[in-house]
Amino acid sequence: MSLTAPPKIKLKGRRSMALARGRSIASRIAQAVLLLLAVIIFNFILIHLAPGDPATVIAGESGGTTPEQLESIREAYGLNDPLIVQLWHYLVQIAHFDLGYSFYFGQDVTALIGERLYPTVLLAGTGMLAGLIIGTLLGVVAAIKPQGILSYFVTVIALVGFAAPVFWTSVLLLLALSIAIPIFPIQGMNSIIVSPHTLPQMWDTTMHLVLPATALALIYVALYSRTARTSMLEVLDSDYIRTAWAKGLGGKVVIFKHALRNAVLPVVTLLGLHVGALLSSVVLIEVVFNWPGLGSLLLESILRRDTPVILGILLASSVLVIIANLVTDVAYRIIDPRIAISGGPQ
Amino acid sequence: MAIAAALTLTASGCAAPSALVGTSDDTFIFGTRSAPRVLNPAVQSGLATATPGTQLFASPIRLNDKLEPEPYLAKSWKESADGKTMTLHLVENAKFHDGQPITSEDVAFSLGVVKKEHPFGANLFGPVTKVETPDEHTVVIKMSRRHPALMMAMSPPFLPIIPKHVYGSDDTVADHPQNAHDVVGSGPYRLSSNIEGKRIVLDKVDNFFLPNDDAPRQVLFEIIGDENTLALATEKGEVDMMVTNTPSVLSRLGNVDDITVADKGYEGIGSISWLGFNVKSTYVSDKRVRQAIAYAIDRDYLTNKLHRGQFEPATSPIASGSPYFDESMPRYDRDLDKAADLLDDAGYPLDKNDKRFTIQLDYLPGSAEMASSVAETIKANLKEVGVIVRIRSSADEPTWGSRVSNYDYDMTLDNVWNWGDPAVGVERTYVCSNIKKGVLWANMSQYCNKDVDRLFKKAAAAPDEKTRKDDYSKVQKILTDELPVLPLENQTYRNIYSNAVKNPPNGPFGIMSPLLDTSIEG
Repeated sequence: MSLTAPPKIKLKGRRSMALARGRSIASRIAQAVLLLLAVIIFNFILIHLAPGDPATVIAGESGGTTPEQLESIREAYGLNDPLIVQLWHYLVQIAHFDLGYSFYFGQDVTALIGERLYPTVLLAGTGMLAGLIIGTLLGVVAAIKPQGILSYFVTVIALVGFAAPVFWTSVLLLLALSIAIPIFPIQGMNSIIVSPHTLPQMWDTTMHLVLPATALALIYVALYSRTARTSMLEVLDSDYIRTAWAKGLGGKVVIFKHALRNAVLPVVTLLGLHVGALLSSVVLIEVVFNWPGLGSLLLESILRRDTPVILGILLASSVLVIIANLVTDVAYRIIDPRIAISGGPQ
Repeated sequence: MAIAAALTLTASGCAAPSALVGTSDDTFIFGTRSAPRVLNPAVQSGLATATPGTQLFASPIRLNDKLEPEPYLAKSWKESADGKTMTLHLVENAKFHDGQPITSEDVAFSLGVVKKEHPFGANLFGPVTKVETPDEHTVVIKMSRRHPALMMAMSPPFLPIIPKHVYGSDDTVADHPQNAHDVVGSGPYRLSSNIEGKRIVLDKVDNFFLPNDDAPRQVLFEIIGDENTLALATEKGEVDMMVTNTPSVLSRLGNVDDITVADKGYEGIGSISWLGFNVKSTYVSDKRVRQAIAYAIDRDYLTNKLHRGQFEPATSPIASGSPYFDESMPRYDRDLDKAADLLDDAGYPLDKNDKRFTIQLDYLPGSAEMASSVAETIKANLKEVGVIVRIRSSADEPTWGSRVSNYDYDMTLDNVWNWGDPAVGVERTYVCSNIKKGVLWANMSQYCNKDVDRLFKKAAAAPDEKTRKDDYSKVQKILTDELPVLPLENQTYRNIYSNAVKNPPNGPFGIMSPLLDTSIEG
């Protein structure tokens, strides 16, 4: 056996692993594109099958409006075309990266969504990240002493977090920390009068962000703390951790380097799955806190049957969910390279 | 908080959509739930548009607390003896926000646009045949008949004076981009910014032709979609004023220190909640069944318990704040025996299961307090006389609107505004000529009575107020007997405001009036 043999075998193994990983990712991307197309068609058909006539909303409070005026509104917005024709026009539009015009505001949907994207990303990002970090840490710490007070505390937090509707916790937070103890503002993303693009404005935004982000984070603290605790308990009970302790490694090394890396995999899976469910929580929180994001725009548009805006937001969120799932897959492969060969998490 | 601060700082380069208006402390902040589609009341009706619209645009006249006309852009006016000609004399120093003078041409142009594009255009200016402009400051309005509602029609919610030199042709006004942005107005405030769905900022016009020295330098319309959040923001002082007709909010904020709930206002809106009947539908096509339902409904519970005594029962299709309201109409106080007798007479006796028939009830989607809870109450009330109600909810207003305007309903809860004059907001829901399939708040009951039509027509052109009141009394008598709709409550809107607000707009059109006298103290 030559001395160089082992490295050759290693390179071949790496190459084939990289190839498998590349194929797997390419296949995932192709699936994602097809899925997106299906979602676009499904959303369009579903919304257009719902009863109701957007023309009545566009016409405003009426009683004197003539059927001819309504007809001309329908004609102007292409509402009279057969569904298949409307769908074709919509697909052509999407292919040109054009989301159309809002029935209600008469404004470009892409611009409307663009304006509202940053507040939603800020709120969702902060809430989810805070929930992920705090929840995972709580779960890990609780798993180290499963019979300790902190462990029971985590269990209670998880139970309450699951049981309490986000609408209720949001109003409770407002009543407690804005009215009873007036620390945080009630509504909006900024105080109504504040100088733009200054440090006071950033501080002001932060203060406005705390309560809605906390309402969102509570959901994820509940989810991740429980998942992380369970997962960590399983890992801590495994042979290789016992071996690590037996080798005399330090507590921090065993827990954070050896155990956490494996224990965090279910949390990452959940994170990817939760991006899809995120929008439903964000909609409620944005409405309660008058946060000027995509969620509140979606609700307003649903109530007004502003179809182009609804479809635009659903498309944007679908893209986000699909990307999040892709990122989760890739993250999985980075955390655990064996998955690239076995085909990824099922 | 550290994460929030870090993310906020990281993303600080992005402009938040709800930011930001300056540092003035002379700002009046009005919290509202509705985002306007456009800011030009000439082409869109409703509170959402008229609220900023009446600050952006002046009108020929405005109305005082008794709904009497007062000078605005018209310093005086004269009606001809036959009532068919109205001559307006305009002030000479009024200007649009771009500096161009406001002339009689602009008034004529605006009137034509409203007549053509506004949902109530035909009711507001239908009789107007010609508008003459003999000189820059004289407007002569010619009509086919006497039109007593004309002064109301020329008030701020209905006739904004828009610049002809900006809009050009009246064919392009409805979809003109300057209805929402770069608005060239004629009113006491100019548009500073309009962030769709979030905030509208107006700045006071310097040297406005009417005195408004104490009026705030800036008016902000902060759009807060959730009513609970809006109420909390008002309670905490983040907004200076809001308007609502939600009983729980009126009741709760009425007990908060430093906050006032107005005891008058919005009489011009005349908001009435009612149970509308599709008179072509089985069962309720019979007047006796409609009357029986009226006797079976516990309106005392609705008004005093469910709605906390914040409203008064409605007894007429004309709102109680209107000068044409006749309070002598039958009240249909709860009487289950009378209801049962009427149903028996109509041929619907109780069967062996104590049931007579099953009927469907729709409702205009809204808060449970104002919509589904009322429907549930009616369902329980009617069950007591053997009428089984099946409640059908709608996901949104377009769904409900499509059902009821296409007559796919038996009974529906609804909320309809009188809009100041019966010729504008009442007639539309009863006359035969306004049975228009697919059109919301037309005559959706499909009720048709030649006497009612004749009386509405006569009242709309009455030679004097007494005749007009008599005609409307006769109409009210017929309608409260035949009940194409059963009026339930006068759901009065009220301003709720910080005590720092002085002279709040508590007039008949409330915040839909120019803010000339309102100020903020402290």
